[in-house]
Amino acid sequence: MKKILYLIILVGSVFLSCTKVITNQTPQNDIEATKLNDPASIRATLLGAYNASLSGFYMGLRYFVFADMYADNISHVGTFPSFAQIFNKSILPDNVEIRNMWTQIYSGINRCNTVIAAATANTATTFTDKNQVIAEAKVLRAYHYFNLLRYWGGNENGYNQGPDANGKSWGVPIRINPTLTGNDAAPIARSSEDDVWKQILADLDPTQVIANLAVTNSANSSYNWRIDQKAANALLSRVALYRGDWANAEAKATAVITVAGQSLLTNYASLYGNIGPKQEVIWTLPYDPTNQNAVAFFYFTTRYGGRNEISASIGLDSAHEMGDLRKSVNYTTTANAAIAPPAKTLKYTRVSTGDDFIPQIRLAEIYLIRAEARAQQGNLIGAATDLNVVRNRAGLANTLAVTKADILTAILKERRVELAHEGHRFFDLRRYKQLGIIGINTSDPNSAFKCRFPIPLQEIFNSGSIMVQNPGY
Amino acid sequence: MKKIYFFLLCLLLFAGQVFAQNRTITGKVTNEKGEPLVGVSINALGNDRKVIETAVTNANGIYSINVSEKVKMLQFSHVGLDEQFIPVGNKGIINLALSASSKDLSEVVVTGYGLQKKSNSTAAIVKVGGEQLADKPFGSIDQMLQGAAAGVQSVATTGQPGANQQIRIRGVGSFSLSASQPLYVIDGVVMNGGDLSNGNGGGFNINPSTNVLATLNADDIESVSILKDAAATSIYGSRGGNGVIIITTKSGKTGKTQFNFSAEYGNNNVIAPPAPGRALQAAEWFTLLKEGLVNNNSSQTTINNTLASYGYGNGVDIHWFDLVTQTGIQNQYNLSASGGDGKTKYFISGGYFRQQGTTIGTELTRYSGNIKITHAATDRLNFTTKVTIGDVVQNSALASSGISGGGGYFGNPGYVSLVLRPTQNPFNPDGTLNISGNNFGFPAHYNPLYIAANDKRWLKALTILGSENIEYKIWKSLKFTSNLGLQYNGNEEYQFNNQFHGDGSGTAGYALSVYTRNFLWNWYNQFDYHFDINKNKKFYADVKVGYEATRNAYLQQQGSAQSFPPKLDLYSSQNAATSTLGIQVSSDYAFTGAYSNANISYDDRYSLYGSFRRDGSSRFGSSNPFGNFYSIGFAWNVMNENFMKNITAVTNLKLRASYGTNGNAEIGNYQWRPSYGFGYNYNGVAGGTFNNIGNINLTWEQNKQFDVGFDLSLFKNRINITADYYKRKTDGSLLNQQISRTTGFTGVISNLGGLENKGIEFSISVVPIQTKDFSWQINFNYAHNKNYVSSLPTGDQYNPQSNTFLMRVGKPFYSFYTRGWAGVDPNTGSPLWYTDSTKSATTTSFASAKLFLVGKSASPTDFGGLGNTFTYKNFTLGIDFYYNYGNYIIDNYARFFTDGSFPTRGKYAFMLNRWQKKGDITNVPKYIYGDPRNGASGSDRIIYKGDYIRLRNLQVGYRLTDKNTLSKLHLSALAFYVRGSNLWTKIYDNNLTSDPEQGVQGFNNQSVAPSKSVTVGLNLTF
Repeated sequence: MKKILYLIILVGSVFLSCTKVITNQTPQNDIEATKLNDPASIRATLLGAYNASLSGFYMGLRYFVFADMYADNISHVGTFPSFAQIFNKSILPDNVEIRNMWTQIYSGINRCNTVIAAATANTATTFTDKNQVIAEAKVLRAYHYFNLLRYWGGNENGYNQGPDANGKSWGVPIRINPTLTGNDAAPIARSSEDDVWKQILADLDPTQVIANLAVTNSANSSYNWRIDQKAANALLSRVALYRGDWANAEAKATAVITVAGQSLLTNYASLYGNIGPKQEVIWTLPYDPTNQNAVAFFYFTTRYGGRNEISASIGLDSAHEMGDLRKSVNYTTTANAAIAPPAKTLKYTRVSTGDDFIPQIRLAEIYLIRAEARAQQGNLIGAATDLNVVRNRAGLANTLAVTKADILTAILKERRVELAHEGHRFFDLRRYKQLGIIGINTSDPNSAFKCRFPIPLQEIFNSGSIMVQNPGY
Repeated sequence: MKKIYFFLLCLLLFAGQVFAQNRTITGKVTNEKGEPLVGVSINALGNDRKVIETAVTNANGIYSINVSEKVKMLQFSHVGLDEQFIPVGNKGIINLALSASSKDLSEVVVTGYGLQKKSNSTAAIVKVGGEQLADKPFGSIDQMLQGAAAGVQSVATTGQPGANQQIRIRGVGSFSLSASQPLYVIDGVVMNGGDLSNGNGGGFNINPSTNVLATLNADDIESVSILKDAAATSIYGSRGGNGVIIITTKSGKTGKTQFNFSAEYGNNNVIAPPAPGRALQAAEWFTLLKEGLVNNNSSQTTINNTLASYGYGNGVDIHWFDLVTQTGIQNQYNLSASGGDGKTKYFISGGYFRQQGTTIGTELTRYSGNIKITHAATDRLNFTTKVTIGDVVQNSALASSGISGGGGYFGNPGYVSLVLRPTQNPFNPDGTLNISGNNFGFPAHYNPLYIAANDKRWLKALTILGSENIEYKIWKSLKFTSNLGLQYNGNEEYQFNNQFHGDGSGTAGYALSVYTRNFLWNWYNQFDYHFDINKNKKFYADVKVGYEATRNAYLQQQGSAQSFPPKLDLYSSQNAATSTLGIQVSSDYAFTGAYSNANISYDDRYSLYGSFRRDGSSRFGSSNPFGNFYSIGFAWNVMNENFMKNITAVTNLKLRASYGTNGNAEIGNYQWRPSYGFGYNYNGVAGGTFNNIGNINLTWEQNKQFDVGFDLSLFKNRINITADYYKRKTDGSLLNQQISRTTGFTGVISNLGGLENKGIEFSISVVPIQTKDFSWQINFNYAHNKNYVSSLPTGDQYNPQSNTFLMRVGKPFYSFYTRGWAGVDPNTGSPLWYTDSTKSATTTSFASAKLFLVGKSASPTDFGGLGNTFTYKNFTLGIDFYYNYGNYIIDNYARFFTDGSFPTRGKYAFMLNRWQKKGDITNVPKYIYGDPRNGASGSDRIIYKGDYIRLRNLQVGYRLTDKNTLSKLHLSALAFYVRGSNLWTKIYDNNLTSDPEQGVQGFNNQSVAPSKSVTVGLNLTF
């Protein structure tokens, strides 16, 4: 009997130390989600929200490259079949680039939602910049939804043009609350295009949102890396232009142009090569050793340390007028061999450090927006004046266009070269109802569907078909 | 005071020894043929068979044992021989012959946390003996398991020496790739297995594939036991779901010190791809280029210019495959010493192993050392101390991993040997390496010879395995064991991309160094209790109760630098001008478990087994970290029934059945935690975000397995058969459930979905001929496995490992999801696809063809091994085949070497069969320069049958047995052999472009080609 007692004691002592071992296993780069409750962490989360745009799946490369490559500014010369599909306008719904881009934009939206929810709930008296933090996140969110709509929404005639030929309206799913647990992850359906616009405009509301932003938000920096009032107005001006709301587009453009200290840089070429100067670049995405982009890597040949995936198109080269100073920036030749291979761009050249800044909105675009808005409203003189500001900087004489139609055509042409390699071309052609230029026949349903990108196939699978695919795919 | 008592006690014991009346019995023990037997244990038994004194026979079979008056009889025993009891009486000399055991009742099997009498075991366990593993030209023992045991699939993803081998026991049981690997246990210590280098994390890896088992010398291994069913694995509860592989290292053997020396030398040659997958040579390539341009409606001027620009007629014709492959050296030397007396036994060894791969720049070198000492401090207390050290240097080829892909890297020798044109000249006229950027140089893909010569890509790994084991017999029937095991693994990886050519040229050179350290401790304490239920010792129970804890600390440091001085030999990153990265990452996990099992046996006829384990892990949600696992098993030794007594043909028959559960925890350390993480910086300021939804309810996936089988031996073990039927079902599988990406996340880790595997396993060994001089033994094993997804949370979804596969309930886990290739239109030469899964209509438009499950899976349905051993006098001939049937492999990079989409790349030889004129019946479309039709990707045209038979081993050996010669040489044994490995491979798909062995996912990622080797070896014992 005694022996059995010993046995029990021995066994017992061994088991006593049991459960402690598996607790206290904490990661060193994460904190528990519930600890996001102080103003400093919420501010850091706002930076984390900006960070989403830096990704190569989004504004760090693909988003803006595809807008030029799906159109006629960039050619695909490399090996990625997923790029080839986009270049050839034969995109399959399982295209990995489309999926990653979609994923990354929604990741950005969720980060904004996280900031907005956490800041709104925070009542700390030390949180003096609470409204500004919320406003920045909202403008960023509007930017993301706008970017989604540009590729996946709208119809064959452009944006905010009502239903398509079949009476359908194509928007994207709207999420304005953060995903915090698995319970928040239920799939949701696409909203109408109009509802998405409403969401975008609500997040860019002049009094509720923009007024809460700082007038200048990058005061201590030599470049504009954070969203402030002029950046938000610039964005709103672009949004209005896409919506065909000419009066607002003009008004917001004027609001930006009249901000003191803003003017076009004398030399177009010096806009690029690392940072975008504050004077002209209203909002830029900054890159550094830990946040690098692969833009130059994708352009440059292996001899220059790149992978030679994309090139500037010959069409872009010939779109420049004689004497256009932008030509060598937009389409390099052997004369630029010291910096870049031929048929590339001088806008992104820092292949080894990956820290070319990527401009999001420039003052030159705002001039062109106002020119277009003025022309559409019949102010042809004003339109030509704005257009000439941009032309003159590029070493070109004033425009010869006088009729409304000619001025609008001249603006489209000017946008192509001024904003080349910055991700505007496809959207401009769509707005101008000129998709025929890039081989999309908007009156043929078998071709017109190409005005939108497919919703990623995964999204259809994972939503139990709540998500509806764009027609044609 | 205590010391004095102890001293007095010792004195008393000593005195007892002196005053007892002793005498000595000597004798010689032989086998049936009269040959002396070494290492037979002799126990002098008193009343109640109490052991009073022990001895063993020496090399000549002689023993000598002191016996007191208490000794009644001597017990002679040896594994594999019938035990004998001889009363001592007044005898001074006892000679006897032991005969081979027909029942092998004394044979033990290695099980979880101990040994068990084989006759009582209810489990499906296969043992692979050390002799099958020693001196093989393979870098790690997992490679040697291919074909060695029924139901164990061992597949290579690459021929890179030192690479990780994928092992699947009874099919794929978990959704994640790493989780489906079995658990590795070395000498009782649950260790970190697999790839512990940077390659573990996916993405870009310095060394595409490394293997911690490559640090272990197979010559130090006594045996490998593979635990397959629940009765065997449930005791490992938590982590045994996909089988357990227990490695037992060698121990010292009592007797005079024996030295063993083995040496092997030979070389490795590449197994060339099948004819369709070779590269075209210049003349053929230009034929194709010209035809493509004509078909593209190019003008004659364009055609002439293009041909000229790629070197038409300039006489350059490079055989790239020959240039990127080499004959590699294969050698190894091992020396060991083993010996001991009654109290202390030891085994010491050292080894050197070197394997050069068949692709330039690949090599593995290993230095290993091992020491194991067991000491019986008292009759009751035993210590075992073991330290095994393995140091590996592995040089890898650029990115050729089967798991994370990366086959398309511009410097991957396997890939560029196909993609480079035969007119790109690796050499300048002066013989130096050409790195110019014109069409005859290397404007895009790199010169692989320059990369291999100047880039660095290595792993220096050090693994130390230590264990300390104490066994204390509290009572005769109760034993306490405490085992502390340590595993230290340090991986230093370095990569240098040179500044003149290749990936580093844009940054004036680039270097990345990664240090990864894992330190694991595992401690278990356990009681073993033997309980006789009735006095005649025929009805007893063996009970085991224990507690185990494991903790692992992982650390990784990464540093990178660029801008190197213009000197190729200054590749160390201390020479670089700019530092671009310096971070440290750490991550830990812990497991804890209480376990127990019992085996109740009656009369060696009936055994009932049960086990229970409760496990906890830091990898599971705070509300659900614990899981319970159990198993029951039953065995019936039919042979021992009275009614079998007269059936002499049957020497053994045992029926087994078991059912049980176990789990799996191979997921990321913190995946369950809802977390807010940093590292999402903006403009150089720290930024954070919610980065993991997590799941606080996350818990173990449950693997439920049923097994029924039998072991049958006939005609005095001339025929041995083991057969099993199993069905294992994984429920609540750990699945990173994909969610709508509009949530900002791609998935939530959950216990969802299930997988099922069922199949049969059959092994048979037969000795058809056994004469005095000649014997022939056949070993054959076969496994059939049916694998399918048994449940999914919503409908179909992509396989979590790759979008190449789609999961659908009832279909195999690795089911290819792609378009159906319908061949080539004989009238136009246009590629055709089926419009959908009905295959009722075809289309010439890739975009109009729907994706569907094409009815092909990457998992084999049948596989196994066939071995023949012929022995004639002193010669042996071994012939071992491995076969694999029913799986498919995909040529992931085919589009670059097939059809005209990339017309300026090298092309597969089968392109010569392209459609040329109306009426041509072929599978290769019309060759068009710049073909936009996607003929060579995204359809099952590039999926091939993976069936094959490989001559794994062909070996001729000679063993010197003449005693006079041996004694003149002062040797006790001498053997020579010549061995060929992988000499012959038979494939069953005429269109296959590569070796059929491409990992469990069947991805041909242009990795390092496998090798065949021829070696000669020598083995001495003295």
